[in-house]
Amino acid sequence: MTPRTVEDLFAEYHPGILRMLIRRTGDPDRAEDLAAEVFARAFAAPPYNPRPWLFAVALNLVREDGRRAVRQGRRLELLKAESPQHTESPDEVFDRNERTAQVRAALALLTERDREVLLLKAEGFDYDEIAATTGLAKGAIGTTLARARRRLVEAYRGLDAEEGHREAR
Amino acid sequence: MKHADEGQLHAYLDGELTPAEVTELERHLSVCVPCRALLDEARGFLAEADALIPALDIPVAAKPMRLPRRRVQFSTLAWAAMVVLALGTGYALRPALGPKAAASVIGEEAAPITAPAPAETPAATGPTNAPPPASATPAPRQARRADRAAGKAAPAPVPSQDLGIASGAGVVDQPAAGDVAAERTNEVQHYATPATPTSAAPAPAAVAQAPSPLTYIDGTPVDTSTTHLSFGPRTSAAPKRITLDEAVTRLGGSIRLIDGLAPQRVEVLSGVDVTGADPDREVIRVYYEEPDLGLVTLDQQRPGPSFAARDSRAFARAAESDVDPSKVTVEPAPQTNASGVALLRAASPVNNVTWRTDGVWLSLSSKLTGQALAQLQARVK
Repeated sequence: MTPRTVEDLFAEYHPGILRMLIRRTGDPDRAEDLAAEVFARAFAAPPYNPRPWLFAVALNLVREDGRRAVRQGRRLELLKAESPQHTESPDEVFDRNERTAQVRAALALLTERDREVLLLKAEGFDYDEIAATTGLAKGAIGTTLARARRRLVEAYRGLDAEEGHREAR
Repeated sequence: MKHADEGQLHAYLDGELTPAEVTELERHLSVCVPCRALLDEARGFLAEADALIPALDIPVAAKPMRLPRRRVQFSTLAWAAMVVLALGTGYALRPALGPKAAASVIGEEAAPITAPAPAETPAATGPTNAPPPASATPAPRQARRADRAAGKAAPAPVPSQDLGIASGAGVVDQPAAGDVAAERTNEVQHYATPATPTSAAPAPAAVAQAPSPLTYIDGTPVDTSTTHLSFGPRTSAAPKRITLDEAVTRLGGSIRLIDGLAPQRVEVLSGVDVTGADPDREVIRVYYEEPDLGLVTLDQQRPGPSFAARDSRAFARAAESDVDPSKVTVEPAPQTNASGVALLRAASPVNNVTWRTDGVWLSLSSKLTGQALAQLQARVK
């Protein structure tokens, strides 16, 4: 078995870790800090089975870090929404931000476990890997995903409908 | 079978059911309308969730991704020096060439650094080993690539052992076998590392990698490739300290280590100096130092084909020692430049177990005996 260098792990897994953390936290700056922390820990103790380890650490950090960063995160999110985008028209930006906000709100309605499993699946993990990362039994993953997907979609549809009603007035 | 539950249907859509489970489910679905409706609903949720999640992505300003802390290695300095040289050359030429031409000089100089391998090689660049666009790759990795100058083959995809790395290719950042042979200019002996059987890279021009056909003499297969026969007298070279990465390279792409222990030091020695090893090949020695275990060394080697044939009986004996580790006091061969650690070892009695697996010769030495030693051996992966 070969321990890979942290540089290799970084090159291969940092994009996925960062993407998952952005989706999970909604805050790119916080996500970058957390991602850096994940690899700093890998540096100290290089994992032999990297993918589940890295993602598990990332998810743990989000949970631990949650309370402290919430207020900071909200402030930063507001700033981000205001910063100019160079490639999209203001309308497109507004729409995208709104959709992002709606999906984020829907995701927030899930339980922590459902949310994590959903995000790991979106990173291309198979059931075995999700089980290894979360500690859940492999047999429970299908049920968890079924529930998570259903709740996400129904929550989003509900929020979207609300928004539609508000605009219609 | 009973009606399908949601979890089953999603597992089915995710491709996670066994073939037998799939058959059973599909058979049920063919006769059960309500379950088919559930499947359609599940399909809808899956598709919509898949579409919603990417909406959470927030474009991050593209900047070179860097590790938070980096070990300063020689290769980093080399990279920095090369960049400075490239930029300096371009800048110095400005008056003569004009800014545009100077910029293209810089571009050309920088290109080998950012994309060395693909230009040189027709082989498919391993997916994870090919350097991604320069801005995204951390510096030390770039430097190692730059060090392996033009003419080398791209790293051959090595099948991952059991690291659970999804991409499958490129377990470690390793060049093809020919690359390794060309690099060894300091070695007393020159080996042609046999090409990894599953290597996908075609043979680099410099070193012939195609396995030579066996010829038979009196019914006994004889390997007539001259590469590993032309050493000259077997000499004993001083053990040389190397990095773990280099050890992996020398072993042809993977190394066995004791699970759960951190290697303190890695050396390469000539097989002549290691009891029981193929004297024609080098041995990689990994040192471990643990408070409860004391000093432990793990030697490994990829022995040559003739060694295997010659010593098949000897290894049958050694294999039996797995069950009852032979208690052998190992004395290091007299060396003029013995490493300090080897000298330490000479002072205390050492027990040893030797075995082979997967074409690798392994030898574990420590002060532990009996079951403790066997347990340690079991942790070698």
